[in-house]
Amino acid sequence: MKLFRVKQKDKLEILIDNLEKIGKIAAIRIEKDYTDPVIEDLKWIEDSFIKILKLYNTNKNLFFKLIDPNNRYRVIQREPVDWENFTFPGFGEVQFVDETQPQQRTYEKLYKVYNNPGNEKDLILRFISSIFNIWNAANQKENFLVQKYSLYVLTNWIYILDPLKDDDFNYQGVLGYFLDNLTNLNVSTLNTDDQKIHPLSSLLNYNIYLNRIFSDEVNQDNIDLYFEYLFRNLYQALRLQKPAIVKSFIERCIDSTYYPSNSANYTTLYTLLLDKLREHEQGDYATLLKKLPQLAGYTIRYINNFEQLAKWAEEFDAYLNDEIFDKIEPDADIEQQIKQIKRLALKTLKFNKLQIVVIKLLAFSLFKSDQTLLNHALEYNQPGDSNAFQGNKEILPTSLLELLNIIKHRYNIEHELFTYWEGHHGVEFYLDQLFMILLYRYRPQKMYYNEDPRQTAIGFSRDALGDVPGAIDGMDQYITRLSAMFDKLVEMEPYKSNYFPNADKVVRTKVLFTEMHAGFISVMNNIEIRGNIKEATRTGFISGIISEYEKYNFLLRLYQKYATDPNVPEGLEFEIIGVNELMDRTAFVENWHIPYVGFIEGRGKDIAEQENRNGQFEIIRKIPAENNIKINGHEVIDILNKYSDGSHIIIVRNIHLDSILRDEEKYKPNWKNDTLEVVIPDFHIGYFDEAPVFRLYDNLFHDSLLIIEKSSIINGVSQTGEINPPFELNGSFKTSFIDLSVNGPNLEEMSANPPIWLAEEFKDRADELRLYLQKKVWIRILKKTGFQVKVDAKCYLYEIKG
Amino acid sequence: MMTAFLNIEYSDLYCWFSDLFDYLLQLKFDRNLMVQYSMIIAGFISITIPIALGIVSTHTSEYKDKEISNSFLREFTYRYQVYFVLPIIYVSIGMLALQIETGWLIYLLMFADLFSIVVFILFIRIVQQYATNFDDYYSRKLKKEVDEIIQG
Repeated sequence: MKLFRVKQKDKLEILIDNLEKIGKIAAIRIEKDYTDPVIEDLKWIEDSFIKILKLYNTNKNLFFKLIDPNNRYRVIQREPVDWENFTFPGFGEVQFVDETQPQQRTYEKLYKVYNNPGNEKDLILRFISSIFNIWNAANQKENFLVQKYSLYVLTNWIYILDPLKDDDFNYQGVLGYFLDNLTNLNVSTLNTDDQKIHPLSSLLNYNIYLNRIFSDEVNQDNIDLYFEYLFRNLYQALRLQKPAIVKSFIERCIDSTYYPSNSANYTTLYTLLLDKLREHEQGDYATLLKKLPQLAGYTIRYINNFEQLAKWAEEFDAYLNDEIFDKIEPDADIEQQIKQIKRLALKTLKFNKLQIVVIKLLAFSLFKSDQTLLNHALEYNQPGDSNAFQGNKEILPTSLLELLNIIKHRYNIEHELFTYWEGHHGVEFYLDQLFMILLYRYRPQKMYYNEDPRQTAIGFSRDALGDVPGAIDGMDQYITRLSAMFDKLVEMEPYKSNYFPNADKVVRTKVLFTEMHAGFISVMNNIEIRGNIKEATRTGFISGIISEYEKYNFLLRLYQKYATDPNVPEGLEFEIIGVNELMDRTAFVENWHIPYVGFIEGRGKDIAEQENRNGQFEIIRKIPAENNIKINGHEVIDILNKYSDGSHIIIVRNIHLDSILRDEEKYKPNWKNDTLEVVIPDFHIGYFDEAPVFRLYDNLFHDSLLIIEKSSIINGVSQTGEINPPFELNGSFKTSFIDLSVNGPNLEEMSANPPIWLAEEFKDRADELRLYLQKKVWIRILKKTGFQVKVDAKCYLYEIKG
Repeated sequence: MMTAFLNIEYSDLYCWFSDLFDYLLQLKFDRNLMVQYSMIIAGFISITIPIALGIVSTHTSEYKDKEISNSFLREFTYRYQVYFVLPIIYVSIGMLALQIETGWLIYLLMFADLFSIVVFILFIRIVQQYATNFDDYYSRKLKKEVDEIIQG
C-alpha cells in the first residue's frame, strides 16, 4: 500500500511550505516580467497574514498553533505569591524537584532549533521571507512596482500589528520581530558598493517609523520601539557609507510639522479659566492660576519619556480637578484646550526623542570624521534675529533651553550609543565634541527676547531639573568640564580649524560657558541657603546617631549592671561626650544626596567608643603596677582559670578567644549555649567557668585581658544636665539642630562671636563669614558620663607580648 | 476544404449521419472488437504519460524546488492513471487467453475504457495547465490549501 500512501503534514507545515513555494513562484514570475500576478500574490499573502491574526478572536488554539508554536510570544500569567502567608522552608527542608513535562521543556526545543535552524517552524518568518524573496527578485529585475508593493505589505502588517494589545500575547514582540527583519532588508539594500541610493531607501530607513511615530493613532507603547529602529536603520546608513540617506532624513524632519510650535495653548487656557472664575466670583484668581503656566507651559518642554509624561499628566489633572474644577464647571472650550495641551505634551515628547536620535547620529558621524552631516543640519538653523518666531523648524536644538535639555540626557545618549558604537569606545568624547560645536554655533535669540544664558540656566534648573540640587550640581559640573575641554580644543588641531575657526565666536562661547556656570552656581547658592530641610530629616539624623550609640555603649551598661551603689557616687567626675559641629545644610536639603548616612553610623559609634574608653580608663587608673603584667599568648588559659570563680569580670580586648579556648571545657560561649544568660548583648560573649567574659575590639588598646572584681565597681552615670531651648531631650542626650540660614539670634551670635577656628579661617575675609554660616546647620548632641570604681579596687591588666 | 464542406447538400450530410447511425446499431460488442479498442486506448494512454511527464518537467524544474518538481506526480489523474489502464490490459489479455466471447466482462471492459478516457481527458487538461499556465495553476492550488486552513 506504499504506492497510495502520501506523507501527511500538519497544518503549520503546509502553510510554511506553501508560502515558501508561492514566494518562489512569484520570484520566477518576476523574472518573466509578470507583474500583475505577483501583485495579486502579494495581496493574497498580505490578506492571509491578517486572516491569521484575526484567528485570535475566533479560534485561539489554531492561532497559537500557527503563529506561536514555540511559545515565544505567549504571555504566561503567573499567580501572585501571597507573601503575607508565605512561610519560607528551613534550609534542610528544601528539595529540588523537576516538574517539567518532556513536552514543556522549551529550552530543549530551542536548543535543538538553535542547532538546526532550518527545522524551526516559524510562520511569521516565512511570511516575511516570502515577501523578501519577491523583493529580492524584483530588486534584481529592477521592478520598482513590485518592490514598492512588497514594502507596502510589510508596512501594512506593521500598521495592523501596532494597535494590537493583549494580556496573553506579546504583540509588541511580533512587531519588534517585523522591524528587526525590515532592518535586515534595509541593510541588504545599503550594503552595496554602488553609491546609488535605492529608490525605497527613504521608506525603509525612516519614513515607516516617522509616519507611525507622528501619527495620531499610534500605539504609545510602541513609540520607543519605533524610535529605536529609526535610529538603528539610520545608523546602518551611516555605517555603510550612505550619509545621503541621513541628510534626506534631516530634510524630511525640517520640512515636517513635528516641531511642537503651538506652545501658546496654555495662555488660552489661562484666559478661559480666568474668565470663568471671574464669572463665578471665585476668590483670588491669580493665586489659583499661579501653577498653570508652569504645569501647562514650561514643564512640557522637558518631557522626554513616557514616565515623565504620565507623571506630568497626573499632576496636571490633579491640579485642575482639585484646585480649579471644584470651583467652576469646565465648558467645552476649556476641555478642548486641555486636550490640546495634552496633545502638545505628547508631541513635544516625540520631538525631543527625535532630536536625541539626530544627536546620536551626528555624534556617530563625527566619530566617522564626517562633519558635512552636522553642517548640513546646522544650515537650517535660523539666525538669532530671525523673525520666524515659534515657526522655527530646526531639528537641531537652537535655543539654549533645548540644548541644555539635550545635554541633560547625555548619560542616556551615551548608554544607547554604546550598544551600537563600533569598538564601544570614545562615545563620551565625540558627544562632548558635538555639544561643544552646538554651543559654539549657538546663536542666541535677540529678536523677540534677549536670551540671557545666566537666566536660562536658572530657568532650566527650575523647570527641567525641578530645583533638585544633585541634578543642578551634576549639570554644572558637566558644563564646567565641557568648558575646560573647550579651552583645550580651541588651541588644538584639527579641532581648531575644523570645528572652531572663528576667534570671536570662541570668545563668545567661553563667555557662554561662564555665564551658564554662574547661573547654576547662583541656583545652588540659593538652594544652599533656602533649600527646605524636612523635619523628618532633622529628627532622623539625630535619632540615627543616638540609636547607633546605643548599640555600642557597653561599659556604661556594664557599670550599671554590676553597680554596688545605685545612687550617684560622691565625687564622681563627669566627662562631656557627643557632637558639636557646623555641617553643610545642603546635606539635609530635600532631594540632595543621601544625608550623611556614613556619618550617622560612624559618629554614633565614635561617641560610644569614647564613653567605653572612659569606662576602661577608670579601671586602668586603679591598677597597681604589680597587677599590670605581660604574658605570652598560651598563658591566657592559666589567667582565666585564676579568675574563674565568678567573683570577677573578664574583659577581653582584641583577642579572639574561641580559637584559643576551642578545646577548653570550662569555656562556654553564648553562641553554643542558648540557655545561658546574656548579660549585655554583643558585648558579653560567654562564661569561663563561672566568670562572665566580655569582648571589645578597640585599636587604642593592646591585645589584653582587663579583669576586675565585681564588688569593686561602684556605678556608671549618664546625665544630660539642664535642658533649655533650643535643646531638647532625645534618648539619653540633649540635642539641638539649628538652621543658621534662618536669620535669628543664633546666626547673629555666631557671626559676632565665631569659634576660634572659624575666626582664624575667616580672619582675612570677615565679610564672607555670614554667608558661610548661612549655608550651615549647627548640630549638638551632648551628654555627660561618669564612671567610678573603688579606690582599693582589685583589678588586673594582662597584656599579651608581641 | 472549408468551402467544399459548406457546399455539401443537406441530404448528403443526412445520409452520412444515417449511415453512421446504422453502422453503430449493427455494431456487435464482441470480444475482438472490445479488446481491439481497449488495446488502442491503453496503448495511447501509456505512450502519452511519459511524453506528458517530459513536457511538464520542463516547466516545473525551473523553480529548482524538489516539491514543485514532484507536484505533477502527486496529481490525482497522473498518480492513478496507471491503475485505471492496467485493468483494461489485464481483462483484455484474460479474455483472449480464456477465450471468453460474451458476458459481463465485455461490459466491464467497456466501462473501464470509458472511465479511462474520462480520466485521460482530465489528465490531458492538467498537462495543458502545467504546460501553459503552471505558475498560476499551482499557486492557486497552494493558496486554496492555505485558505482552507486559515478558515479554521
